[in-house]
Amino acid sequence: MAELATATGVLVLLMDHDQTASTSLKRDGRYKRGDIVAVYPPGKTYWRPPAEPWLFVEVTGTIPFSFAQVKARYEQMERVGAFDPETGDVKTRPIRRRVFHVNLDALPLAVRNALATDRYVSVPWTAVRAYIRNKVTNETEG
Amino acid sequence: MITYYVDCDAAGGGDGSVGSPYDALSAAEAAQNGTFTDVIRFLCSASAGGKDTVGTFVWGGDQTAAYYLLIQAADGHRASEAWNPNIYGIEISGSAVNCISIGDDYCRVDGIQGRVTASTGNYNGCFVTSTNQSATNRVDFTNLLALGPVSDNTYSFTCYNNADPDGVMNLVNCVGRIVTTTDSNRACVSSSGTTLNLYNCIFIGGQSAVESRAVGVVNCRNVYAAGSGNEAFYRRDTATLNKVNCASSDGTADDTDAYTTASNCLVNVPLDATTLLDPLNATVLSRDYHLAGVDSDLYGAGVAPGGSDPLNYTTDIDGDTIGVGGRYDIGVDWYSTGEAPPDSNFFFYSYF
Repeated sequence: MAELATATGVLVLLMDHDQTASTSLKRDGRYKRGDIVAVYPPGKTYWRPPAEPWLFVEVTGTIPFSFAQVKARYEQMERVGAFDPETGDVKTRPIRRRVFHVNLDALPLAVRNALATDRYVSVPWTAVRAYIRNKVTNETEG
Repeated sequence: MITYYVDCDAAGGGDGSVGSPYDALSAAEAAQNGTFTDVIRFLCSASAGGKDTVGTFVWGGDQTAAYYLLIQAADGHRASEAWNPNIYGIEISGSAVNCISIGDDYCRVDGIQGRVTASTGNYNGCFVTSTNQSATNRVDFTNLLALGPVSDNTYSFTCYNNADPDGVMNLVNCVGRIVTTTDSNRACVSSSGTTLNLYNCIFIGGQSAVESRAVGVVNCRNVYAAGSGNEAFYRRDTATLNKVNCASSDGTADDTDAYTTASNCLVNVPLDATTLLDPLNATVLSRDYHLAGVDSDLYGAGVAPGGSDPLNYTTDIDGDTIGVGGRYDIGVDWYSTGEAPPDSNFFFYSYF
């Protein structure tokens, strides 16, 4: 039975599985397992456990960015072919719905078990940052 | 029709049901956009007056003409002629953002107010189409209020942009306003689209307020374009621009050439309080695009909508029935004498 909870740290909403699509072109631009969908500030109320297809990771401790920077960094999408205002050429589409994702399958066993059981886990920034990866540069935050 | 609920003041992690709505339109899209076997509606509200702060890219679904996606504001949260801070709205900022960008076939957006508070990159906008897949695609934007940044910005920006290289995009009862009047800012542009129908709309600001470019066709009816730095109605390349019962603050509404037609259009209709209720308020977010009254040049200057759905509409942005007594106005507001004039309280309080 889900109940309302209040985040004390930065709350990260994740996809727990790949979104399907009928073509590879569409699939490329859809959410993937571990993608960070949204980031919320401390104090956000949320359902625990969340409904499908969500997972929550609450990040505690000091994060070396302001919340505004965290939100801008982790909610960014990579899109291609943005229109050229001079030529009028437009082919905008997302190729990565989110640039950053959490490598869920590489997380420590205890964290994976918590997510599998509760769809929620609270971890300090120092314990999770190495699993947050920029898909474009392949660099992690840790 | 299957309805999923969005309440941007709700708890996170919901399932889209009435009791557990999604807390952002983007979350609804992430969870429910896919294979369509019915019309899917995302019904948006803000139970505590909050704002949706994540832009939504509709992408990856398989909509059809019969089973489309409808993004709609709930009653009490629908856009009007002025920004309402107390109802649902999309408020975003950043370097690569759109309030709603449609990348799939057959999507409809209705009654939403959206604005970009700060645009720090090129190609941003409010309500836009992008690369759609089908030549028979149709995207409808109805009863929307789209506002660009409240101060000048140096990046290209459009309130509405038809960038779908095929298919049809319809705008009915929509307002678009940009403060910036230079560079590559436009209130509404068909940048590489095929057909863009603009019916009973108001576009203000930008280098041009309405622009038809490349090889597309833009059909304007009952449209007021004003306040732009170059031309209110602007056509270029081999694009086509057709204007019926339109008005402009400059002399471009009745311009014609090999690719441009005009009939029953008004020129030099001032962008001020004689035309619209409060289009130049010093507080940009408080500007109001209701018709000023019966003395407005736009009053009774329109013509009946024509065509098939959604161009056979019978109401204005507020839901008021249009065409009563055979009168049609230009713009998003069919002026009703029941609407309070701006100074009505003056007489009330003066008397008592």
